[in-house]
Amino acid sequence: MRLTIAVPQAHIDIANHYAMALGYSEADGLTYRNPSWQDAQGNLYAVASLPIGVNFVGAATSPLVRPEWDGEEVIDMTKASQAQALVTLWAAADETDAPQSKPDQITAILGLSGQEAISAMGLTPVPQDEELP
Amino acid sequence: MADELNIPTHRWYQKRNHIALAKEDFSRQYIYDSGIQKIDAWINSQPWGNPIPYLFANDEQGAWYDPSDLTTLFQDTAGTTPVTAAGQTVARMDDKSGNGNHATQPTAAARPTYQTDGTYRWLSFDGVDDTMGTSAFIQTGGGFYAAHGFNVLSEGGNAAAGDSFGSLRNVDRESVGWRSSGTYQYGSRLRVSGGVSYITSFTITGGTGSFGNNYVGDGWHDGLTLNARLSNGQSSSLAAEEIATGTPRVLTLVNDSNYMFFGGIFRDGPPPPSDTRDQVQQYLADKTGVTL
Repeated sequence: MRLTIAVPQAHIDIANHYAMALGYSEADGLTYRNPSWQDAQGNLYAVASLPIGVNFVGAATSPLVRPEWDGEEVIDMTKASQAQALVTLWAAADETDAPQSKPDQITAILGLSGQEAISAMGLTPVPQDEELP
Repeated sequence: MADELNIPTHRWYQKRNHIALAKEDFSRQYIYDSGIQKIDAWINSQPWGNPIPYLFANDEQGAWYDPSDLTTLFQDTAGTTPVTAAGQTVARMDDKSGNGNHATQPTAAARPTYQTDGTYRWLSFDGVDDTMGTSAFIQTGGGFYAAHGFNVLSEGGNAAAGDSFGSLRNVDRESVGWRSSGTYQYGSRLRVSGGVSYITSFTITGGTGSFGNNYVGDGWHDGLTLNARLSNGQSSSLAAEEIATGTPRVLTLVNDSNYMFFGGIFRDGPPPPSDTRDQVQQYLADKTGVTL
């Protein structure tokens, strides 16, 4: 099962703390990087897509607990909880339309390929400055 | 195997093993019935059958990745938990060149997955954020050579980051091998921009590939020309300028194309001769399921 998450640019920092809280190392603090996707209004988003196990969604929607690996308390659990509160989760099996990405919402889609999920969220790639001959 | 030396192949790695058979020779059909892929696999397992180790025989800098070799794939960057089944994420792919330029991805969400159809094996990059990279080792001052087997299923979202195998990333960008971007038509590319005194910027067009098809692509710079070739027969070359040297750059495997990676090599310095490039192309074609 694949989960794809779009994070508004303004929330990338707290979303990375959330990712670390659910992850395995400090490297998961780089889950959301370049906001290279945009909605119809031009708002920017960073997107991550990953295969998940059966327990992931349950852990992601339950009260967060500092993982064992974070003995040095790298994770700001307050930020992680703030990000968790912004999540809107939609599954492909739901009989509703997929949620559109919004600047005040972290949008997560379960069960579609990464690119299908991005399209369902209403996101498109940000045009790059680099010219191609 | 008593009849080893009598096995004819479509390969030319070692001509003494190529024994032409008459068209009506019954053993020709026997060989095909036995499975040419099994024969290929056997050939590749022989010291004389695999051309890639020779590319690094004199301590040439570079990397060789072979996702068909499960002993090189790991679910953690430390290399302690092996990949054992399709669908598992790959945090580390060991470099088989002997240079230790292992490709890793420490961020869990950005790792590709290992996949197989029972015959071929590859890494699947999701077209969103999956990528792997090495530590900085590439100088490219004396040229380079890159080759890889791949299938671009669809282009990723970040067009400028749509480089496939051989993308060297730092502040500047150099891409070799195959590049997918928009029209999916760039065969090999070097581009250095910003803050470098000897700016070199040139691009060659390698023809048009099709999304969803397997290819072997290779590119090389010999000091005079920048060249690209695709296994569908398209190729091109361009008079080249000096390649940037100085700060070593990393080797990046894919950025955001939805992409299957069947294996590849990158070698720093002067490219190998054409017959060796052909041999490597054939080797990768066998790994990719491509008929040259």
